[in-house]
Amino acid sequence: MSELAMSRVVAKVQQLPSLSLAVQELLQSFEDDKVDVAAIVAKIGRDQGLAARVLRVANSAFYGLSSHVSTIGDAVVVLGFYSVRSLAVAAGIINQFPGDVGRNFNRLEFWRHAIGVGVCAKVIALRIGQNPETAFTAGLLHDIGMLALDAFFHAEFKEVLAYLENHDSEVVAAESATLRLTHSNIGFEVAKRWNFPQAIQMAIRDHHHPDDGEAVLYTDIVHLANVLCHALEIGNSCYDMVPPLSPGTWQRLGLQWADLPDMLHDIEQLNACANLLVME
Amino acid sequence: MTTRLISLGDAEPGMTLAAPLCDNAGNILLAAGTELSGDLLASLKRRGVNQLQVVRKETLSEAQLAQRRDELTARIDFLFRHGGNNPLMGELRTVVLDYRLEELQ
Repeated sequence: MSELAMSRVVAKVQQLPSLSLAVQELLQSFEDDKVDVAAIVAKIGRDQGLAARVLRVANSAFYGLSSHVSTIGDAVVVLGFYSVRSLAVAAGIINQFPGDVGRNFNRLEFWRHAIGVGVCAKVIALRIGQNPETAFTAGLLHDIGMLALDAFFHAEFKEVLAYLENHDSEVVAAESATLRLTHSNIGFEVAKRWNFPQAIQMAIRDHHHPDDGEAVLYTDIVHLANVLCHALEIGNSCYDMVPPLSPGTWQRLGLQWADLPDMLHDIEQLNACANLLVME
Repeated sequence: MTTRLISLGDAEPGMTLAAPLCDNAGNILLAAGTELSGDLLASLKRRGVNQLQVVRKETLSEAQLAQRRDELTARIDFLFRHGGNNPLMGELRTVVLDYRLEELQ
């Protein structure tokens, strides 16, 4: 069993290439009071690959097929800046980790799960009257530590996967037993390096233990979203079981069981379109 | 899964798209697997869509339905196998199972 020292993780994370300028500014704007929308729109527009992915989803039923948009500027007019922002961040981050299908850990299934949690989070946020786009982004990024583990500490990650299989345990238990670190800790380091908004940093760090830190809205939303996503089997993030739902989260979010069937339906509908983000 | 190509006029709410749907300019509108609702069909009409590839719904015998239900229940039980003493997990499992069984109809 090889422990993974936090110092090694931090050192590696410091070496991560920066996100594209457009995506950096988008992440920055989550916490800005005044956003120069025109400038950001221009930057996204100049990144053709990014713009293409954003427009593909913007034009789909994910946003109700409102009307066809051919430029990022149009997309902002029709869908609003928040929606375009969350799509661009999603497309930008997904692009940062080029696919590597066919290893123990399937990247495509990983992103399907990540997008699935984003969609679940969005639906939960809509139901409780919170910002659906921030929730979507937080959900999408919640397991970024797992991606970092696979990409940069692959041998150690394989040990975790082996432990998972042999003991049929939960992923955090497997990580603690083998590495003494979890993907949540690692994800938090990545989130800091890339200056993710505070609320998203905390959701990444605490989504498996929402009762440990301060009770933060997006942490609770992402925690529940992850549980629902596993229950619906959307994508695969290396373990097929439903993680335990925190009673604290359930109580704080104030949802009723009767709310769930409609939400599950909305989630599966939205998810069919959101997966356009991973298409080439 | 068998599919069939139908005109938009023949499409009904509840049908499922078998392949990604594009508009006349080649832009993807809906991903494969999307369930078509009345609203969606109206939107597609406005966007000039003519044809759709939909999934042909199989009619299952009683025995097949019963088997599918058993398989579903077993799968849900497997996913929730670590529920333990957490009372919320029991509730959640019921909601998800009912949701999946409902879809079977």
